Amino acid sequence: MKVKFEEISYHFGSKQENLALLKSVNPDWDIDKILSTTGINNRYCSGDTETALDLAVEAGNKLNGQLDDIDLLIFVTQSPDYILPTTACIAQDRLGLSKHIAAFDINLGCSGYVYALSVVGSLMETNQASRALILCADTYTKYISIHDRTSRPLFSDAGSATIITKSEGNINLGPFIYGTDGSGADSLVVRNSASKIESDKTSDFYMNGAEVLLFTMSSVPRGVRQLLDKASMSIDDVDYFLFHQASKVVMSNIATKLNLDDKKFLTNYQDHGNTVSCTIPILLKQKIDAGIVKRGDKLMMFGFGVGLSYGACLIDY
Amino acid sequence: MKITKAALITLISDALDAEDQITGESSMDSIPEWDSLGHLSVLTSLDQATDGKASEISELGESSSVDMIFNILKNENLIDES
Repeated sequence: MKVKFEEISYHFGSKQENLALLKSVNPDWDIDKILSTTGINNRYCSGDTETALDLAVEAGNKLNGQLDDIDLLIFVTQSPDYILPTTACIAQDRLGLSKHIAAFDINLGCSGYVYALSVVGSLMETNQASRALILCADTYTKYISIHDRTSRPLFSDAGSATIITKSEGNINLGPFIYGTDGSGADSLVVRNSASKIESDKTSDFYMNGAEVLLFTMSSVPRGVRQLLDKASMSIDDVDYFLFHQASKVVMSNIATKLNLDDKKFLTNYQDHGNTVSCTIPILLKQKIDAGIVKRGDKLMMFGFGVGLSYGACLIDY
Repeated sequence: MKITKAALITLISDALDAEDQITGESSMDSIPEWDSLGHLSVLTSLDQATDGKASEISELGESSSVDMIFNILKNENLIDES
């Protein structure tokens, strides 16, 4: 697949929430212990009337108006405004995109950006799209109780926008690998949030951190090796690893298991928390702006989480 | 790599940075530091001690005592009983 990353932007929820604030609401919480496990002090939450769609549109509006020729819009979210219609259709109108485009949602969480890249690449390779906009946005904090010590200190609300164009030359997207284990669906779930009614269960966001950690520790290192084998590459051939920014305990474990160089294993969870499908595009944008990631670099992206689901790919940026 | 029960107890105690002495009977109910966050530390330490084998055992996610962990690892042939 020959594609080029043209531009990326992002927008955080309007309310900041740090550990001191959570401590004031939950006096029995051991903030030092939470910080040592998550590595996250500051996070962003959406306002009461601010939705994932709003955050994505704000991110799209930061793209210097380069939206005229978009012919494909993919919206990655698990925080839609409605069960129907599709969020991407509303975003098409809000961003003033052409009416002659394909627009649809992908309902995935932390693996969603990689899956969207795969769809974009495939549609471009078969001449069905030439200039795509990937919007990612979620507002998980709307689902999570402020008293949930496992999940509240982790997640942030944000939107991101990525423009990808069909390209020629040596800019490659792929190969990809994917993985799914629906037996772990109960490990990260918001019950009573759609058609299935479970009156004996709470509607709050629930995460079994231990189960998700085990999934990550087993599937991510194996997936990295599988992807490198598929590309006939060694781990040293990758310039930078841009993985989903889950939390300190997850990131540290992955880096240790793969013996990754700190300078190549890029992180930013410390400053923003876990923004679900936005973590990879926000990380990429920040590292480009910082002059770390440059054109021609070989990147590995790896998203993993709710589903349970993962996806990874290699990219010539 | 296999570990002994004594090494397992030391591993859990270190992972939790527990003030109270950990024994075979210790559990999430009896050790204040062994909460959901503490359990993540236990799991990552177990994974390192078993060369990555522990992360393949999903039952460890629901384990809540030293004896439960010991029996799960024993069933997976990861306990050194010599």
